[in-house]
Amino acid sequence: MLRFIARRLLEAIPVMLIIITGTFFMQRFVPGGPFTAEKAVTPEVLRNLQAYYHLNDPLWKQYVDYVSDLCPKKFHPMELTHGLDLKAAFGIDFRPSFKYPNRTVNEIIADKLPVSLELGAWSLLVALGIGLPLGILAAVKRNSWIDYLCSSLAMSGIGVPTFVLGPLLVLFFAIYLGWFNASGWYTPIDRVLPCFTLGNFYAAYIARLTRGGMIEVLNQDYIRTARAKGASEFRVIMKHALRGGLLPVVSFLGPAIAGILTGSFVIETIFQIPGLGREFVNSAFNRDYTMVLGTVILYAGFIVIFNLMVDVAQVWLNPKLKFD
Amino acid sequence: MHTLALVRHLYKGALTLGLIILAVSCSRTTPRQDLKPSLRISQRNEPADLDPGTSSLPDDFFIIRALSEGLVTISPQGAPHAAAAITWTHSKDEKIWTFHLRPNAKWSNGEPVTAFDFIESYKRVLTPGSLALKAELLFPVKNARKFLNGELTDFSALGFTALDPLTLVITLENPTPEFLMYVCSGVWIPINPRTVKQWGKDWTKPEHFIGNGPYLLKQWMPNQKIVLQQNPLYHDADKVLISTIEFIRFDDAESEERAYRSGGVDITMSVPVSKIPVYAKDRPTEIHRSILAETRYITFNTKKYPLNDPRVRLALSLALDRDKLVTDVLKGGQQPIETLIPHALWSAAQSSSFALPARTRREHNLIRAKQLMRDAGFPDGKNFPSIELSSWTNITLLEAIQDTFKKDLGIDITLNIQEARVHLASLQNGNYTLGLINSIPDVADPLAILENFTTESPNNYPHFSDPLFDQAITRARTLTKNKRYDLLKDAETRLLELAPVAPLYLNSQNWLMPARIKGWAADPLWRRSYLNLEIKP
Repeated sequence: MLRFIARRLLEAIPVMLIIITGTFFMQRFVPGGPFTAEKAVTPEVLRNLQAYYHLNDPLWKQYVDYVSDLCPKKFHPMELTHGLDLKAAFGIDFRPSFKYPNRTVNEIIADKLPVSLELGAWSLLVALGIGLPLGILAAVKRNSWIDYLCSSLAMSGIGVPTFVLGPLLVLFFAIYLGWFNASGWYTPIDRVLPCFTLGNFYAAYIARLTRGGMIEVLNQDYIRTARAKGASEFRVIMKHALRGGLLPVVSFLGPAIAGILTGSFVIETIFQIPGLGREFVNSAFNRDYTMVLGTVILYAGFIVIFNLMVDVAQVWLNPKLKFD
Repeated sequence: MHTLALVRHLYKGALTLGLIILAVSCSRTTPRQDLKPSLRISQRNEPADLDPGTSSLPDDFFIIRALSEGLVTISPQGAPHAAAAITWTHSKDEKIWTFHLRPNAKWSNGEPVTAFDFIESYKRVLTPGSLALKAELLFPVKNARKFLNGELTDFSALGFTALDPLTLVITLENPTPEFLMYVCSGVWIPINPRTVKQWGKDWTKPEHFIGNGPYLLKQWMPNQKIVLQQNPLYHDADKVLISTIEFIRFDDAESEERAYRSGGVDITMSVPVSKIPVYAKDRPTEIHRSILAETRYITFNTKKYPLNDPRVRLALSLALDRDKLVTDVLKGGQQPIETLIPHALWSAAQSSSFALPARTRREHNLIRAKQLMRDAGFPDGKNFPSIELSSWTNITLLEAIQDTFKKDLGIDITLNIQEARVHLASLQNGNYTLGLINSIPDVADPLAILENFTTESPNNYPHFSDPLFDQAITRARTLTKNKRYDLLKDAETRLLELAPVAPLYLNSQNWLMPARIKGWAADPLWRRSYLNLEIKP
């Protein structure tokens, strides 16, 4: 298994390099730069800015310099316990931000990523906590009114996008009932509405996938065998059926986790959460070249790692698969 | 076996989460009470930095102006007010300005604020290699530009002199009747040179920040909130009636409005257009409106056929029904305008001789527009090529313009909405035909606005060039107040006849604020003051 993981990680290096190269050059070909403004900057100062950020160097040199700053140069993972400083831990330098001159991209990521991770983690819990029971219940009580109720709940979750559900929840729970704040990310209670909004969307998919997976497994011979040897219905479902029934959910989780992390922009905007999603999207509008690259690299890294984790989990769950 | 354990953990986690949510939500069934007298103001753009020397957006200065103050501030009516300087005089030729500083003014670390600090601050902005985006606002000072671009290396040759720690004399390149308008702009706000030297670019972090304004920087949570607290060392501490101000970050009008309704913010930056009539009807004391000195106009690419003909440009401009656009399409209380300078806003500060006649009636304009099109060889729009109107926003406004041109002049235009910076880049490169654009002046100086249309100006989006106009502007720079205004009035009239642009309207700001907040001053150039601002019980 270690060999499998090591090989996949090695394969990730060229993938990341292609992503970095593509992002680096593509954003330079977009019209307008970081200092484009309605009122043009004084030419003298514009020259100074371009010199300060090395924008006058030939593009290939800027690229080579950037990639060499980016390459990990050391390995002190214990530094991460003091804070998410990738420069101190691995020597990965994302450089200063173009938009925020007194902050580096490393600092911004260290500040914002934990917020997005927390939002994502709670949302995932909500998604699984709602999606799995609904899906299992629907599969066990197939074609009964319970199944129809669960399935329509799931469909409505998919049908109502987060940017509609979020404001609706705020309207009802924050403005009419006054239970929550309409926005902000200060106290534990501020986590409730955004995590529910984001989690609910994925819960719907998880419920549908669980139902499908479970129905297929419940028809298998080994389930009949389990029942025949006298196992209780609860044991049959939770021990025998669930392992196989969860397979489609697990393969969905890889992209879903990446989606929750990268797609939290909408939720962060509705609820004013200081996460990385807003930095990511705004950096593209600001032409904050280093910030765009920093976040793209980070997200790409997440997708690679989560896909790898899903593959490992699938082999564990499915005895028919082997690492190779 | 692994799976089962995993699933069990997940269930346990979800169950615990549910219980926590239930417990927390039951424990708090009443909305949080406001802590007074603190104030929460919506901040729609995260400040790039809080350094008055390098910041450029008005939004950055919303906060900087609470933390530090320049020599002079300005009232919303346009009159200069004493700030760090208590009195000032100028020579008859408007070239030598003397500022007398407050003897009791202190930095927030207790050091006295001196004329030397001001000079050091300006030296930092003008030093070659400077990253000060608004350095040009110091260019009226003698030799300032030459020092910045390296033509001159001796700083003492610049027009800054400290006669003593409390007297600052500034010598200018040319007579500048509006010099105080420059002095009250953001880049003229001083920094504490010792703090900046000690901490470098980290000096704006809350643990290092030193200012001379009414508030101290307590907390800066990027993209979340910025907390300021009253500065006990401020010279006019009795005018500071609110102990804590929180600037809370919002991304859009909708989330701001929701937070306002649930009591999460006291003053918003805007109101969603759909909610304006609702508030006007149900809570009229809470919705407020002010006109800004921001002109939105259509720029014509004067290098492109058929817009290289001034008759065509003027016809297009005359055909637009600005009143209808503002009342029927925009519905946000904007003010129709046909001039380039917002005369109505600035007349209080300037001599009455500098005002253009009232706007002409539209029926007359339309008759003239049709005549001009006939003269240019396009009777009823015949033979007129299809042209494109590009913008980064306001699709309904563009559609209304498209409709007017079709109905009244018989010409077809297509619409093109682009991302904001792509749009700006295409205007700057002259790669457009008609473009919508916003002009936000840095200072209330008519010369600065008209200068944008001189041949060499980098803000000359129409790529317009008229030797007579250029000459008039060059001459106006050397004249004192009244003569200068007469010349500028003529120059603006000429510009409006040649019509490189069609001014449409002045933008407005609509915002929500409860009636108990008194003393909030709306300023057409987004300059804010937090003095005498109070919350009545």
